[in-house]
Amino acid sequence: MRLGKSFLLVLTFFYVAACGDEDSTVKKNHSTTTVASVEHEHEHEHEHGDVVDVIDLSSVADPPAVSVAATLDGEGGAMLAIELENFELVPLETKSGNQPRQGHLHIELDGSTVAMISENHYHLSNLVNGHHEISVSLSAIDHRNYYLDGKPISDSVMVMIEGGEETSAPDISFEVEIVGGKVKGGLSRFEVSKGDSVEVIVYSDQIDEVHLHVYDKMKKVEPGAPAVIRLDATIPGIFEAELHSAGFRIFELQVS
Amino acid sequence: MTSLLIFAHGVGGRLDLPLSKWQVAWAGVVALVFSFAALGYFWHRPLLKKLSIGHPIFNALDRSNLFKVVFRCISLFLFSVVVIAGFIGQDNTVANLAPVTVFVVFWIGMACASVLFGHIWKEISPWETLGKLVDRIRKEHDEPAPRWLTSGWIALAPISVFHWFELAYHDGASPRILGWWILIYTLGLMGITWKWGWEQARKAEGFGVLFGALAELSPFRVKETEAHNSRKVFIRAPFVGVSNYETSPAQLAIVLAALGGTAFDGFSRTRFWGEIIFGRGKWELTFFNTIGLIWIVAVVGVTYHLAGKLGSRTTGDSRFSERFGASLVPILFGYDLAHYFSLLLLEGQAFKILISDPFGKGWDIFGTATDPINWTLIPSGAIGWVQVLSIVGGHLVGVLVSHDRGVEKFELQKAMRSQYPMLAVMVLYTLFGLVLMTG
Repeated sequence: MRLGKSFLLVLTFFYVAACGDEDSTVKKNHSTTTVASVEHEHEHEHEHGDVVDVIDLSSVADPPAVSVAATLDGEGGAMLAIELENFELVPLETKSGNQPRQGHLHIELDGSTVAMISENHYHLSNLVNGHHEISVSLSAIDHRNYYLDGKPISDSVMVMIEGGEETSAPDISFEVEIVGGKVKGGLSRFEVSKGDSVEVIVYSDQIDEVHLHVYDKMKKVEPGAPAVIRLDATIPGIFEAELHSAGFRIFELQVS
Repeated sequence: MTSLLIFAHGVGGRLDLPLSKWQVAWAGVVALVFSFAALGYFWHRPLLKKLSIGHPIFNALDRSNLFKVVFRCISLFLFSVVVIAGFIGQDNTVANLAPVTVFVVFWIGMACASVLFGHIWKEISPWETLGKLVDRIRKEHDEPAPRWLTSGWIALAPISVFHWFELAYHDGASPRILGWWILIYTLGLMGITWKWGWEQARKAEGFGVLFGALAELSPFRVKETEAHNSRKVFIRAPFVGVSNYETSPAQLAIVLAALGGTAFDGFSRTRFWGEIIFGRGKWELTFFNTIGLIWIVAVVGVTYHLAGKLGSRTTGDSRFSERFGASLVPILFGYDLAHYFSLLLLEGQAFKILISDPFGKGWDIFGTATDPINWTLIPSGAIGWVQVLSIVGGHLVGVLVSHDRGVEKFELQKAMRSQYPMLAVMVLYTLFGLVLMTG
């Protein structure tokens, strides 16, 4: 029993020590705000905003700040003018040397990152009509976001886009998969109502072209890169879509 | 765009919506009730032949020959343009003038024009013009034309080949193939003309035979008068003229083949057939469609033949089938209109666009080369009604014509009995036609 207890004690000690050690490193990070160079092997993941850990600058005197203003171009685009305080933009290619007042900007559209820039202006184009939230946040060279008092250092602006693309999400969406020259599940007739915005995604294990008659949508399809056909169902009737070089029908669209 | 677009049914990638079940049910009920009423409660004396005489409206003078010459020149010119477009234009079904002209303007448009205006194909057909030209330069000799030509059976060949290219062959709407097709057909006709003269060669011109049958439905009738080069034009109720149409066995076969072809076109658009040919490309597709086409034409033909045999037995009239052949013409027109009405009005617009740049050289002769096709010209509801009305209308006129023939040829008792097999066939065709439209 005594041996067991002391063993447990030792374990607890090591555990606490280990935790404490980790705690202290974090603290160290916070206090010095210098971070060792980060490997950029997973840059793509960073680009998609998967970064979980952040750099808090609460303890830094004169922390950086950002503000953004948007001017609409009337053609579905917005020109962003970004003002920075105590922050230096460094090129995106920079690999190492996180400094508390250096980094680049992440631009988010409706909550998802759409661009990373190291300039103080940016043109967002091809937006769909309607309200959008555009936010700009400060990011370290290793793509971790700078935080202040537990909140990201960012600014956002709401815009109302007009004259851009009409709708965003389709009313109805279908998928077709072609494997080994055959359509999985046989011939489908997708029935939609007149006026619907329709999306058909065609997957194929061979390079080809999908052609939807009359609506005249011609989209390339490759393994891993599906053809996405978007249309507004304005013409009533039944329309055939075929795989071009294979020369057979892959689905029918019925608009009624 | 240089890519070749393949179309399953001649030209056109838009199909009509299936008819609603209740629309079809009502149409079927009306057709049936009308048919049985027709058995006894209609007139007991032939009526249509008297009606088909019509009222004279004007005398066509010599001057009208000038019009005819102008129309013939336009038609021959357009014919050459289409053949040349087939060979040198873009090798793309939708971007070439030839497919839309052959499948829509000629095949559908001419059928409708014949029903509206009468025997106009005979006046403006480029083959007629060419044939008469060959007649002038060829040496006359008295060799009698062979039986296969005089009987008219050879005219079934162009109609069948045309249907096969339109409905079965996987690349039948390709401009090059159409170019060759027209060239070979024309050379064949001219060869026959060279040997036996155009009067005989005309019997091999299947399209002329078919348009001629449809022209009998026209409200206009032209009568050659004794006076030199003068004709009298009569107006009459539409469709009644067909009561004068006497079919030879070959003409009957041509009408049945056209009916079967149209039925297969509808059949090939049903989901049932869609699943059969699904995933099949090129020659495999051609093979299956060929089987389907032959099968449907056979079903249509054999049904009529059996009804004819039955009619012969009950009436003792050995030429029963041919006697009642005329009643199939309005049914054929009903099928045609139901299947191709929207094609004519929608895809037909492509003719207006492509005629401005017939050879794909970037021309814009009539300023229409960049016009878009208005795919919403007719609401889909209207298309549905035209389909139902034309199928049922074709049926009703068919029943009338058949009844009239019956009371004309036989005394009342026998006439009624003669109507049973004919009615059965027509009800069958109509219900089949309607079912096809539910897609």
